[in-house]
Amino acid sequence: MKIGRTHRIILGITLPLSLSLASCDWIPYAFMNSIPFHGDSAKNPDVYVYLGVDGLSYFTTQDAIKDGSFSDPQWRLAKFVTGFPGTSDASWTRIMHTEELGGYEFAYYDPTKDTILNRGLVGILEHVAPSLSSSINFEPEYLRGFDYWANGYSHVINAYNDTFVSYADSVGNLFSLLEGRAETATVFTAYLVEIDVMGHLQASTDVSKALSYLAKKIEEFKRNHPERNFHFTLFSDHGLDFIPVEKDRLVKFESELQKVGVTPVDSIKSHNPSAELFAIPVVHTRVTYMALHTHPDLIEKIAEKTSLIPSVDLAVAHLKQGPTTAEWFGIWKDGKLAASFGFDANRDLYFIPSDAHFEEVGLNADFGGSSGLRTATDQELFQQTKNSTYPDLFYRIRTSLSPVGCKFPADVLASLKPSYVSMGFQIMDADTLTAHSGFHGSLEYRGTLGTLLTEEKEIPDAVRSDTLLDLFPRLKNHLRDRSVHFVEGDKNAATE
Amino acid sequence: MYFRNYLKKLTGRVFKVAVIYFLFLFVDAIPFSLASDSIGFYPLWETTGNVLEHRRLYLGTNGAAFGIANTAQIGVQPVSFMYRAPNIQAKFLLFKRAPWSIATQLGATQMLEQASRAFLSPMYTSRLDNPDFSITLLPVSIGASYDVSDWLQIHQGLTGLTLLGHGVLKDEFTPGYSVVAELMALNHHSALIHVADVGLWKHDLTLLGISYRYQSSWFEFRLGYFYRFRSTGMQSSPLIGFGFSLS
Ligand SMILES: [Zn+2]
Repeated sequence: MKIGRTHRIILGITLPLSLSLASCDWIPYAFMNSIPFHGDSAKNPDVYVYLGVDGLSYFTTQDAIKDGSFSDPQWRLAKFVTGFPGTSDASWTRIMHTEELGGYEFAYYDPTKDTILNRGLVGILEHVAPSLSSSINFEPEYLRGFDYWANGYSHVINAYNDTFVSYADSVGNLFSLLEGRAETATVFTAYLVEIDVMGHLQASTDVSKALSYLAKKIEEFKRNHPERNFHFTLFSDHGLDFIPVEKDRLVKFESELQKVGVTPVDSIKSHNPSAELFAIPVVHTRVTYMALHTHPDLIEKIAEKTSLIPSVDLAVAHLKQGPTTAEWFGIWKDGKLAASFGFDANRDLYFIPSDAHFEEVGLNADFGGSSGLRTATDQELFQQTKNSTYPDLFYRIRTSLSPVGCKFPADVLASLKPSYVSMGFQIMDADTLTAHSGFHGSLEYRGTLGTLLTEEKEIPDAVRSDTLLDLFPRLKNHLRDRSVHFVEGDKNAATE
Repeated sequence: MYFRNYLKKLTGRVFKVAVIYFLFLFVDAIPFSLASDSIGFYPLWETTGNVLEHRRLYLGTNGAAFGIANTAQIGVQPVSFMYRAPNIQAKFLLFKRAPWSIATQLGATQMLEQASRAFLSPMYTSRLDNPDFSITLLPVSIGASYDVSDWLQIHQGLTGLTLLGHGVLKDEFTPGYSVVAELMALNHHSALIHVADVGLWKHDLTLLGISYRYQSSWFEFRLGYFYRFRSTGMQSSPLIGFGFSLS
């Protein structure tokens, strides 16, 4: 192709101009980060550092500890029991108590408009598109809670392209910034994305090595800065199952729904619930859950049918009616309502039918009673389920179907069996960039248990992630200082 | 593992930069010789021994300056100006006899409250955070440019930065030394290697960068990539600049 003179001039002027405008920030970035300065350590002798580590599984942290990381006695590790569905956007939104998302991810069904918003590529864009300014910004609100979450426009693309390099860049930048911020601040928050990407693309040993690298850097940093006491806390938004997916276990939900007699549709209002069984599946990236919206009259039927899909472990939904006036929830397995429970929000009390067979849904806890209904407190259930196959099952099901962290919760949620993954939206054939070695999203413990690792204070052995800000009030105040609007979330989230 | 990946990443970065270089080769014009740099590229710590010609006005993203009597120039850093950091610089030629050119520069920048948070994109973060206090920066420097030959110029800068922290930060003085080697092609293009040490005997950071400069009779474009090494961590980012030379 021959480039004409006019084109050359246009290209010669517009290219550098647009590049320059987009990169205005590079000049102050270089300028401000080259100013040497010191504060007075007597004014802030203690500095609290909160690191949001995306996708850091409880078991990865355990492995790193076994390898000798975080060996100082002040470190405390807890199972960080995260929300269902265990997907980054929904989970961080709940943990940080930021403004509700539409759904659990960027793509969601809006019942008021009866349509799926940000479908497909647009939904993916959110995660890779650079934030050119605070108004031209695809980033979700929770990231505003972090003083540091990216090292430049191409950061997220680099994180997928070259995860380990990007990680070294991020960690280097993190400590460079922390060193500066600690001169005047008492609290510093940062977000790291790469551990999650590694979990999706690499083996678990690679991820625990990467965590050990961070541990080493933390120790090094503290050694080099004896003038202040640094207290680090690491927390994550979900776990990771580290089960590589086989091709035949990548599930296309639209066709699976058809096989069990449910018609996948795009709109609810244009279909007749007395004439057909239909539901709107919301497809995201590769996750181990599926969200369905349907007509109110069809909810239980759709849940029942969905649980017949071979890849589906459990389907959960509201029950139209229960034995009490409380809100009732059903758990379907293999085409049957396997268990149900009720919840009274005013008393923070659960109702469990005494003939309930929760062992059928993997809970060994004894809920038996003489007759009728047994009541259980939230705290009791949390304690009984925290080490089970489905940690915190009751609270997690209940809140997943309620507007906690999202405006429009699904009508039916399907939690997949281990080793099955929703195919999700496909970007061309970019298989190497697509998750294949580990997943999260389901109710099962591996994708559910994130990390809470702290040297700030004593913590219980398991912590519900929704309560993090109550446990760490300095973090909560810091979010307020960063003008992040606090959203209460579920008012019965406290486990004590 | 990290090293191999770093090489990989670096090749990626170099490639991106190369694409832009080649696009620029399309912009050709009559041969002319490259004017000496009178502003420097990397903010705060780089300077040169040159001043602008009399009544030449340079309007650029890395500096805007006006030349007076071939012996002085007065200017500002316009981008910082827009980012809540009003500033001014005055530069005076001290000595000029080929191959040397030596100048001194005095500057003042007032970083107003919140200047550290004025980035357009939330993807960039400053180490220095001044949400509720201002900072005064008073850099004084001596710059020397030396023509080694018609294709190589060396710019050196010795800077002393006084920071006034207005009760929040400690008032302090930091020295710094920078050296830039500029390899000048026949016309229009030059390639630069940048090295600087901030702090010297009380070492704070080491700066390492490469950049490219394109210049026509009225237009200048610069693109570079810089690393800032500290004992605790490393930051890196591209730096871009364009400007118009008017007279
Ligand atoms: Zn995540």
